[in-house]
Amino acid sequence: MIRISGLVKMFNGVSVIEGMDLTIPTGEILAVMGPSGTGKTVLLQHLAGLLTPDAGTIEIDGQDIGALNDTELLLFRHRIGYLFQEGALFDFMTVEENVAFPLKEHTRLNPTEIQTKVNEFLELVDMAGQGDKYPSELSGGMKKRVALARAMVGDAKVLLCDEPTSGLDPMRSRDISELIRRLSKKLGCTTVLTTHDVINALRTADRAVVLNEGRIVADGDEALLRSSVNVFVKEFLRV
Amino acid sequence: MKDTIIGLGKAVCLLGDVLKYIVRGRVRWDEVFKQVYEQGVGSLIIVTLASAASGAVLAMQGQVMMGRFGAKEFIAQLVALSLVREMSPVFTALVFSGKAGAGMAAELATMSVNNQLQATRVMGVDPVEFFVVPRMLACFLVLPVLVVVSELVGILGGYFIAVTQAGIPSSYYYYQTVHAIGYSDFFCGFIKIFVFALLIGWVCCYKGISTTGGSLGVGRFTTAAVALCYVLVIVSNTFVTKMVLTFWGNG
Ligand SMILES: Nc1ncnc2c1ncn2[C@@H]1O[C@H](COP(=O)(O)OP(=O)(O)O)[C@@H](O)[C@H]1O
Ligand SMILES: [Mg+2]
Repeated sequence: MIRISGLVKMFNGVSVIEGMDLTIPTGEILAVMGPSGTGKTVLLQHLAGLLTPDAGTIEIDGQDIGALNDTELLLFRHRIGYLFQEGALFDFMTVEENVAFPLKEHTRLNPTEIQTKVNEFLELVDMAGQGDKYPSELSGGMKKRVALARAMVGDAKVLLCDEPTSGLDPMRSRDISELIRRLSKKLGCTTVLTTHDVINALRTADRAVVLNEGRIVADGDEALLRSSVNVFVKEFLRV
Repeated sequence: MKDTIIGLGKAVCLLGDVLKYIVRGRVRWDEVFKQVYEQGVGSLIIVTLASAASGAVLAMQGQVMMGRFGAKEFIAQLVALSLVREMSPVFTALVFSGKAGAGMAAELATMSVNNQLQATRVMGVDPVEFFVVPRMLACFLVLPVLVVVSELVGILGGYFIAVTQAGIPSSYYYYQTVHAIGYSDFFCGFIKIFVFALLIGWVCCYKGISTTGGSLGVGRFTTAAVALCYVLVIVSNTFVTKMVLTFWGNG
């Protein structure tokens, strides 16, 4: 379970997140929606311990991540899978080496076991047989799928996806959304994804929140959001 | 001004982290050797060309200057001592900054703006340990070798000019060179290279990993890193030379 309470984050005196409270039960897929620049990425970076809150706390499975030192944070992150907006694959490594990286770093698996696991995950994201390619030889959608495999291969319990559908055509967007849902449910992850793509967010998630200027203005499943009377939410869902 | 001081503080922290990993023995030697190969191979040809040319030029000028005092037979000493004490370490460091240093900075800068450094961090690996430590260590391994290569090639360049243009007998040139260079001359020059290795590795890695601002930022931070290396190499050379001369004298 992820519990965010009273989260405040400011950059250069301007607050980006203004006192956010949010609880995400284990195994749930939550979509954080909102227009660009509302602090969605900033929120995810807090969940991964990449940014420190100016106020408030973040607890993941009972662990207050603000209380961890640098070394403990690195250890804590073994439980986290983070899908960056552009994938952020290592461009000097092949697809296979990228996916193998978390396993080589943090497990005692031998090379054959690593290879088996890498193949299994490449299969899951529909990239079987493409392990020898370099990221520069892949399309945007393929990069995201490989990055998803890399994020989940180390038995991540929490999956964070930043704009998984951005820059993809409608079909690829639907595919990656369904893939995230399928993998997340199969592996039992608690998943938070950010997006301004309403259709695919609702396709992937069990529940969605709408952010506006650092605050949550709507929270619930699709029906609840659609029945919201908030002007901003109505406007946002209409486009 | 405030930014400069904050930047300096962060750079010192980075150096502290690097030392921490080295002291704890957390060094990825396979990555170090990859870097040694990349930095070394990249710089070797330019260092060789630049050194041969400077050795040759030293001999040409030596022929004129020494000729004026009727001391043409001292060309070998002039070439050897200038190269070993001063020119090879400084030239090599400058070439290395422009080639390997720029390479390191640009590579890290690209990874920084593409979130690859962040990605490393979320996968539970410190990018300092994985990327910076091997690069900085490689500088310490590569630069001394490059300097020795530069000295040898430079002396060969001087030899070529002295023998073909100034009519110095080949065996005499060889004899003069070997007897000109004492241990102190060699170490006076050699010791500098470790200062340069530290400065270049540190500046290029720090600038690289702190790059922001997309591909524009990559260009800007890389150029800034190389420019700073040039200045630091040349300025620090003055101080190190003064120090070395104070300790070893000029005998
Ligand atoms: N590291 C940072 N330094 C300063 N400002 C930042 C930083 N990260 C994000 N911001 C600012 O925070 C705001 C929200 O950014 P972000 O979370 O990336 O929005 P989005 O919802 O589009 O993901 C933006 O105005 C951005 O300029
Ligand atoms: Mg964003």
